[in-house]
Amino acid sequence: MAVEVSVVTPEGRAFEGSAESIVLPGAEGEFGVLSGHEVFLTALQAGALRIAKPGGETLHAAISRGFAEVHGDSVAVMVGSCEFAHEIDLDRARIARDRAQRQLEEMRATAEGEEAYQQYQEDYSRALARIAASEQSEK
Amino acid sequence: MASLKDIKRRIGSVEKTQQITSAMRMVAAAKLRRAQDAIIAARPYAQKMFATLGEIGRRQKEADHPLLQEHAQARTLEVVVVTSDRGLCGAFNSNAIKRAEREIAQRGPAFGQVVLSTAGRKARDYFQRRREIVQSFEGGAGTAAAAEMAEHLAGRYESGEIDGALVIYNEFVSALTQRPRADVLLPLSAEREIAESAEAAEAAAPAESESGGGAAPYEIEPSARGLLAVLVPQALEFAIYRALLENQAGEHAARMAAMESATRNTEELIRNLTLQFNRVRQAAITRELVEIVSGAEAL
Repeated sequence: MAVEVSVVTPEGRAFEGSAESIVLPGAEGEFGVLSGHEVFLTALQAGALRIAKPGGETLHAAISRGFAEVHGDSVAVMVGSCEFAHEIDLDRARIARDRAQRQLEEMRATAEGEEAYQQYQEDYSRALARIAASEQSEK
Repeated sequence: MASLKDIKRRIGSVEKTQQITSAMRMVAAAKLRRAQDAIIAARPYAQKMFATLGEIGRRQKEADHPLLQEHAQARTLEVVVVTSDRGLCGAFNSNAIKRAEREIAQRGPAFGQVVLSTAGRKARDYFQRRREIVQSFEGGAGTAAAAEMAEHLAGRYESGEIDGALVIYNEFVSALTQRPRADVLLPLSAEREIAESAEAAEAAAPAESESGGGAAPYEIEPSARGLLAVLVPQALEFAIYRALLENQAGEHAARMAAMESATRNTEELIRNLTLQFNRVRQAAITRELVEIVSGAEAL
């Protein structure tokens, strides 16, 4: 039994098709969806998404914050952005992560504005999501 | 009377202009197609998001998010004016600017103060010398640009710097019509957004809706409130993104129309100049003949 998955971003449908299972970065931890899952709605945090396609192939993607609606045998994922592993430049993501990490540490020392802090936090989690998606796909 | 050479030069220059305007028209047509595709691509996202927002809104009567709450005092209104970066698109930008001036005049009195921010160079250039601009954003429709603007507005609204926000842009109605319009961004209202997106979806393609089943009893995790914290900023961001997309498509449509009529005008100009050229040439030939004939008679 397959789950119908659709991943939608403001720029269009990123993915649409059936899958064996899908693993999503929920706000309270990673969770997987198989066919027949309970109906529910949840927030997603920036992280890595995994879609296991029927042929045994697995798609990896980095997503930003959003939410997912699980409808028994269909899953609708609504996120601001969705980048598949082959579109991600791992080296650049690592550099971005290190930079964001450094900036966060500096901020902790100087205690600057909250807005900038949030911005760096977001940069950091975005970079982490990309790295996770890209590394998972290489395994 | 202009000499033959002058007229010829004139025709040559008008022809060059015609080449430019017709090339610009074709470029605008190609860009318009891409901009329209982006609008269509954004539709499924809009439907899903507003449907979910509506579902939560039904369940929870209280507006449990700072961006949904109206401020007790209306002191400052921020007006975001969206225009294009470039001109040569007819009255497109001046229509948006005129609308902005009107909204400021109308809504201003209810608020103590109106501040401006702009997206696109034309709005910035116009308002720079007339009013104070809080921030001017880059033109161009991207989700990153929309996110930046949404963050700016949300931050100022939550901190109480502003008590309302309005976006003014040209709505892309068709390739021939763009309508300036003003949408309230903040405080965000789920009902209003849903009504608008339903209207937009209906106008576009009724077959597109696939919500199927409808009112399923959701289990919400972690909580409706936690979900709103994600959804509401996304909805704001999307409302801005949509305005940017509409502006972009409208700009290209307006430029296409403007360049088409410019091309038509050069055709007319060339026709008239050619006629004049032929007349002058004929007059010169006649004069020469008369001179030859009268010279021969004198012998």
